[in-house]
Amino acid sequence: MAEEKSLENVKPDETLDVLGETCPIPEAMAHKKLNKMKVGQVLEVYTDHAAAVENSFPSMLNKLNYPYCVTKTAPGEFTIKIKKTS
Amino acid sequence: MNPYFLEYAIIGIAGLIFGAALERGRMCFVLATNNMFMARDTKILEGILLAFGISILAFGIIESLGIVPIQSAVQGVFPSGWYDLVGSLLFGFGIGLCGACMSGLIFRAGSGFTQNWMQLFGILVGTIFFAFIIFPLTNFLYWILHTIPWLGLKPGFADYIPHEWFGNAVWGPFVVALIFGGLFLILGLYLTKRRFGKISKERGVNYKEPIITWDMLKFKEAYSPRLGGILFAVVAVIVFITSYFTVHKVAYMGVTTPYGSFDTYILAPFINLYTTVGHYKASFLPKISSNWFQIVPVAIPMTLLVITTFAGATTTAILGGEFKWRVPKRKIMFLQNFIGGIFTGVGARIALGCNIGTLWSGFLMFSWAGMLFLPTLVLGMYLALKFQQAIW
Amino acid sequence: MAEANNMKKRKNHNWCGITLLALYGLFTIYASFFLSYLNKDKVIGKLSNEAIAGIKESFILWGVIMIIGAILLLIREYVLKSGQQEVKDTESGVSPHY
Repeated sequence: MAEEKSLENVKPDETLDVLGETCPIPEAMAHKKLNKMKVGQVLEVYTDHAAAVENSFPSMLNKLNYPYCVTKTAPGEFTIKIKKTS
Repeated sequence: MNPYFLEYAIIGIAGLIFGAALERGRMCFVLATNNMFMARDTKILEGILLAFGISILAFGIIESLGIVPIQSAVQGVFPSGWYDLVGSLLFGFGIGLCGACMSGLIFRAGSGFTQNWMQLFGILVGTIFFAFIIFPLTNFLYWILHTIPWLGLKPGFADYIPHEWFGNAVWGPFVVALIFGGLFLILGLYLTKRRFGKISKERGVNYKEPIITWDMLKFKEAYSPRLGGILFAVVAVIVFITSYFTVHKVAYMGVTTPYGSFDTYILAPFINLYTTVGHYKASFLPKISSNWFQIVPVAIPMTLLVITTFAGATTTAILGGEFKWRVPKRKIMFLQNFIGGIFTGVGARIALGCNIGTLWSGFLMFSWAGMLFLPTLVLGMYLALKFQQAIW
Repeated sequence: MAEANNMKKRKNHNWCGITLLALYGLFTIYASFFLSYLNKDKVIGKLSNEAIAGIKESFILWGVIMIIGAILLLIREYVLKSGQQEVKDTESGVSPHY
């Protein structure tokens, strides 16, 4: 599933703040949190690990087939919104 | 001109390129393997495979053409044996815990990750721990030189694969490079093709990623890992050729021993520690193994290379607008990175090098070190990933 | 963009990086003074006086280059103000490629 811009304005049900942490913590914690969430809920992840945003998250979410949306909020800081669809 | 000055000046430039390639290309072994294990994504791995493949082939050609004669190339080869397996397991677990390998650490710390500065501190402490406790108490140097016969390969010339297989034939290095380098290169290119094919099928368009674009050169976009890989190979070749033509000694890439020399520089005002404390067991141990700091050369080109690599990574991070002082919310991460750093430091010292000095340079030296280092390194990183998934 | 993101203050950390770069330079110069001292009584890696002199010079050269680099970045940051421009650019929300 590719990026979906429509998610940009959705209010998140859960947030995960992994600012300052490197791989594999952001992906692993997001994955754990997504597993606990209900279908249809949206998770918002704050991270500043550029490599995770460029590589790890897209590949993980493509594999899970969840739609997501990345916003750059500051230099080197990103917010990712993920919708759990299944 | 003083050849030493020339060597260090040029190797400094190589370090800047290395830092840019690391930071912009996100070349980190942990990132590559984690993406591989967690999502079957090979984007970063392709870059690393390309770096290995191209540099091995280049070294084979350089040595076969006699630009750097085999007799000189052999001088830099160090022995390989059981300690590669043991060290790389510890090392792999350590870097897995920290989320950054020895080279990934440079670009992360350089772009402002405080927890990776903690890892660097852990490595410095680990190196001191190894030098003063493990090295003298286990008589480590003795075990490297007189290793368990069936696990160790003979040191020196015999550990140079072209010599083992083809004797002194000039084309030996090229053939060996073709086998190992070709394997990496073909695997890297195949994975790229497979990934593009997969994405094309998903999106219904002919998907391709350019290796280099203007935005990458203007620091607006991260480099493709494949460009990072090509730059890696260029750096290794610059270091190899420069060191031969200036001081007539070969230097392979390495970043672990420099961390040891950072220890030495930082503690230089208290230097008596190194010469006195180390001798406490000298009565029944050979004097040479009393303290690791006493035997390693302190002024090596790679120390300058590591400093300029840090500088290159920080500069490109600032130019790319990515520099940020990043403090993790959970302060326990500092402890995890410190412990991981100690594992990393001790493991790298036991294996005589890290993922650059033993794994990559091991292949570049055409010795068995790289082959021995690889399997347990991956195992260690896998265990660390599973461990972290379990506790966090 | 969600409210939470707007609430977050956009900070520019580039001065930290520039300080870091200058510190690398200072460390390199600091290290150069200990080369000959630390190389005494070494079993392996003994260096000649010529080598020590050459290495020391190049360490100092690179230290100075790093400090000059830091000054250039400082000019870029506070005179040309390109760092601040980047902060403004990100307000539109740039998503990285995959």
